[in-house]
Amino acid sequence: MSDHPAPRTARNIPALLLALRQEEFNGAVTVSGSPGGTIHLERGLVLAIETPGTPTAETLLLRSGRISEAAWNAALAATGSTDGRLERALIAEGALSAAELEIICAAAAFDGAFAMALSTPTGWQVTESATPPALALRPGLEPQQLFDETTHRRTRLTALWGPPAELSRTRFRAATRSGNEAARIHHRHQDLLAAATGRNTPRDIGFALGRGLFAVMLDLARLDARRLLHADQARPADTAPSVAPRTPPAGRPTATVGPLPRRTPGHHAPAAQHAPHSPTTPAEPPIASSTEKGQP
Amino acid sequence: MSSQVSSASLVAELKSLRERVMGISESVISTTDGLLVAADTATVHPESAAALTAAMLGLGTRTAAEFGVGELRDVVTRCSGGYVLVLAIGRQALLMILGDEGLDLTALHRESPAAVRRLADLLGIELPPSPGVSSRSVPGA
Amino acid sequence: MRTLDASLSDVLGCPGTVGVLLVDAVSGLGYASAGDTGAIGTGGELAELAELVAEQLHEAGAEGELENIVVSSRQRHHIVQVVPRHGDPLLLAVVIDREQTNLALALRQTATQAGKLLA
Repeated sequence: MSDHPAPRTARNIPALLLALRQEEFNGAVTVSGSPGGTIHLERGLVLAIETPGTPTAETLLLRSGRISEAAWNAALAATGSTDGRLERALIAEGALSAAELEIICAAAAFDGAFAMALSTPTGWQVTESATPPALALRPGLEPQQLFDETTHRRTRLTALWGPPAELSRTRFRAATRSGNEAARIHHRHQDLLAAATGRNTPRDIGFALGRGLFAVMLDLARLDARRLLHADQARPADTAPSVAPRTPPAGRPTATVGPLPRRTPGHHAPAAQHAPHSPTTPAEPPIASSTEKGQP
Repeated sequence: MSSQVSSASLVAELKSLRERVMGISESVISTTDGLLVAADTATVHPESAAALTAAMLGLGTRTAAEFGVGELRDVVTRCSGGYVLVLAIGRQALLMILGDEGLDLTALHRESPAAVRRLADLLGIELPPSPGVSSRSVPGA
Repeated sequence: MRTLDASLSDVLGCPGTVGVLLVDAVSGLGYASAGDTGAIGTGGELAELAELVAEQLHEAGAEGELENIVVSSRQRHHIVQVVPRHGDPLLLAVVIDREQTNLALALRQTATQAGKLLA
């Protein structure tokens, strides 16, 4: 691995990327955090960003239904004859046009940068030989464009709703509304309202619908302003709910769950199976379920 | 009933894990012979999931034994639409985690050992000691 | 150069076209531009405008989707053409010099270009 004097002194990811752009670096920056991610670079330009925080271009294409699994697999199989470039294979088989692919790859990269910017990284590593991304935008994006757009997005969300990081942790549930109202809601918003179960975050909804994080957050912020959504209390990032066994009101010390459910000889099925999703009846072993009947 | 209250803390632990690891959508705790213990689910039928999970682990265990590669730690099934993971909680219980394509595997590897330990405590299951200090401790194999 | 940049260069070549901008209709993200786009405004502003107009049309009971928005000043027509696609639509924003062409032609031209963009 060659020497990277400038990047070693970089104090944050933007500084690092600008330095790597100067040297026209080829490879990847792997960032650890919540979420972390991988920034793929060619001549220091950003080809793609992969992070758990927002769908990749691949996920966008497949989850939105834009291309079928079959088309995707066929393109993968054909990649051998297109210099290992999946993009060319997809275009060659007519799955989608070069223009559409560029749009999706660019959008995914900007969302990746935005998603990663919602939390502070805990570290990073620069590697020259890294697994290339499944889909890449070529030529890549100037890092400065990503920073500028990310800043712009944060400003916009803050003005519209509040702190973006908090919005990203908020679990929304659709408010009940009249049939009249429902008819006047754009179908894109209707899909979003159907997907908001009160259990999932904007990121989760993005994965479910095959849409990028920022657009989902923007739409949710607007729907919230129109009172078509209820927000569950967003939990602060670094605390988890206490998992200590709760003390019953009488102050008795709490037992552990105790014996696990056991199969009783002579019964063909445990009694539990007669009662889907319901809490235990006295004769049965202790079972706890939290099942929320939202639509996926 | 005090066990109801403690069962709530199992579910609380599952919810907490879901909050700390991006991409987890649902999870189920079952016994190794497929009985449901606790669940944090939305679309999955908990009892069916419990039975299926035990079957997956059973197969994994027999496979590991057949090939002589040691104790089973976890089973990871990667699908085009997401992940299904099964982690052992000692020898008596299992944790099944369903995740979407963007499941943060790094975070899961970081959080699951401690989560498994806490679940084991709540369930009164003894875990074998983990081998020394490592960043990837064995989740109760 | 990317495909989109080449496509927008083609649009710029149409008679009377001063500037072109292609943005995401929801996020306002700018995907490509050509010519003098100073008068168009930012992608975010265009997206907000389209959202606002579409909402008002819906409230007023209009059927179907927004197709385009035209803003005219003494010297220019600004046409914001919605480009539908699978997923969030795009906006193709075009600045037209009124002395070089008329609105009807410009509208037809823009719609044609929008149709070819993702083909």
